[in-house]
Amino acid sequence: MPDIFIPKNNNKPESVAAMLSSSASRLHPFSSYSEMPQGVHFENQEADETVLLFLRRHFVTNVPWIFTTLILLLLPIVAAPFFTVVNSLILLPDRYFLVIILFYYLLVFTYALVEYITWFYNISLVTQKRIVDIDYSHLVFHDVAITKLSLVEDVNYQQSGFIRSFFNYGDVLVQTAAKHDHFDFLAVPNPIRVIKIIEALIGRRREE
Amino acid sequence: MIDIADFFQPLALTKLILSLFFFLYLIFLFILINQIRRMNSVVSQATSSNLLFSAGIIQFAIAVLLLISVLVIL
Repeated sequence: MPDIFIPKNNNKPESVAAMLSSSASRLHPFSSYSEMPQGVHFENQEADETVLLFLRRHFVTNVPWIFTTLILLLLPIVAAPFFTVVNSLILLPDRYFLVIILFYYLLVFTYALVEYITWFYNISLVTQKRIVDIDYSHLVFHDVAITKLSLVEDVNYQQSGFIRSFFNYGDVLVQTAAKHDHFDFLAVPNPIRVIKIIEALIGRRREE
Repeated sequence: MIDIADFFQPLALTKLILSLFFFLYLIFLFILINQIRRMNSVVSQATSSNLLFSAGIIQFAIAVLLLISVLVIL
């Protein structure tokens, strides 16, 4: 009996290897998106596990603290006349002021370092087996959530607003059937491509 | 004999406050460097991680030098 309906196999996931860049990319200190990154390893990584995607918040999200740091760096220069008036009242020796100013700049650099570290260590990784989400905040808090790709149920993204559209970044939301029921990759670059890669990996897993 | 009133001279008080701030700052930096070291073990990112660790150590060294200058020179 002839087949009445033969579905076209349009849903077959694209090969992940073909999707990812053939040349492995090397990370630099400001990388926020990398396919097949070199030199990235995480705790509990299995011997046959390769990191396919490396994600951080888009670098544009750092602009507020960079701007604050620049203002704080320029503040003593702007406020120099005020310091002269204060010095005439307190009569502190100049060397004390020098130490206070140096201490102030140390604090500003520490503020910048803490903000940079907070951005630097908030990482999401996708391997051929698992999704790893590393959250780091408030200097002493870090949380590492890992789920198997086989437990991923749904992947979608949100990209709203002019700046996000202009710089092409958004939030990728991964729903899982595990205890940790959702993984949020916030403000990551190329959200559409991230979704395509994860969907291709899920598809491949499900086919197996 | 140490006179307690000497501590409340403006310069002595400034020196005391500065030393205290530097001491607290050093503790903060110690925690920061320790966190960098711990996070490097959670996720290793080639050479970038070492740069951050170095930045923390350099800040710590500068803070120690400034603390010494407060305690000895001023």
